[in-house]
Amino acid sequence: MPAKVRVDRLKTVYAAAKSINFGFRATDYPSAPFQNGVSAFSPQLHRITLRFCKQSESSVGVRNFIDNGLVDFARENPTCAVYVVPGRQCTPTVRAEYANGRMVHMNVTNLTYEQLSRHINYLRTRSGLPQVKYIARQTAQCKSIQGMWSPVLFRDPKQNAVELPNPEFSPPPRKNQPTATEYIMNQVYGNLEDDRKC
Amino acid sequence: MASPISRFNRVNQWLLFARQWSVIDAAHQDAKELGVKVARHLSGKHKPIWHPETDCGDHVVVINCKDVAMHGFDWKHTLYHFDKLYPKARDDIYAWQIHEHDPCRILWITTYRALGNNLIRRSHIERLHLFPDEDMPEFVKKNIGNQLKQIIPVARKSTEYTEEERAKFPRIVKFPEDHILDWHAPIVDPGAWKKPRYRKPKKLTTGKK
Repeated sequence: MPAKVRVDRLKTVYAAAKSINFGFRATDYPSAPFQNGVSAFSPQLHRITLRFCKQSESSVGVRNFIDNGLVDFARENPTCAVYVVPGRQCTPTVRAEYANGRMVHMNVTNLTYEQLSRHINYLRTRSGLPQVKYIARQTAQCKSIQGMWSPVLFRDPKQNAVELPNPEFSPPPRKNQPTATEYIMNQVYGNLEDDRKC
Repeated sequence: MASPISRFNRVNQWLLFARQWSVIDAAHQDAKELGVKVARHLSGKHKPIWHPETDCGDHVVVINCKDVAMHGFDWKHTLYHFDKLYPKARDDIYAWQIHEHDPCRILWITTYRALGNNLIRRSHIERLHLFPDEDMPEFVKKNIGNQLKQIIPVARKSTEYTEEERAKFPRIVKFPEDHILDWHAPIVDPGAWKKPRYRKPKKLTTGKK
């Protein structure tokens, strides 16, 4: 993964406009909160709250889920606290709270049992990080494998010893094949060091 | 700060973004190709950290500009067009005429064109320093920290070969004793050229009347 570019940008946008929350256009690399999963894994969903109405038709799916699927869900996720809040004439919602303090709110009116169980499973598997557009589908902790480039990395250190400009450093690099002139010169003057094949 | 840089590591940051002064010898090099190479270093595209908005270009000092070369008859055939958008301000000047007047101008023009047709080239070309020979001001010489390789290999002159090397080279043809080499032969004066007198072409006749 390349290092982050530090760019001296000209200010083409008003400074105030920069503070606008473009959450829907956020971009980031994939990551896990608190390096979850690197050495140990802990489920990030800490609390799930189901708010529903006992009478209305919009909460049918929620009521069915509470009857049939909720206990199994709670048993399978001992680290998650499950709260069920009945209310009169309220819209059924699901609120999930995560380890990094963020919360996801979901309106589940008129959802069936299957749909709701799929959504709750999705909330179970999420980390608390917000949804962002991936810049790249991979991420790495190490900034550079081969090491950071510097202007002196591929420089001939012999240039340090002499005063520049020096004709010794002017010739272009040798090519893989010798030229006709070079081949003849090697033959005539017995240059055995040059072992490039024609 | 996203990731704080320690006082020990900040030097690496300074080195990464340091502006370098490079020198290159233009003798016997093609002006166009050299312009491309120099433009690449002026804009900073030789660096992996390049970005158009990061001002990461280097300074380039070009010496021996008077000895720059062109392919074939380009000195005679290449015309540079000048136009100041004022009346009577248009002109087409040959490359050899420009080079006669200012030996550094041709390389300046080729580098400017190789930088691309954009606004940033005006700041990049400020970092190009051209000198007709190897003389340069002291502050420029002090700043130089790197030498760039040439593009075209400069061939050895025949005067640079020693007598031993000449003797060692095998002879393909054995000349007679009184043979004179081409460049030792006396130059014969052809005399003034005289325009041939026009003669009307003869009509072909069959003999019959």
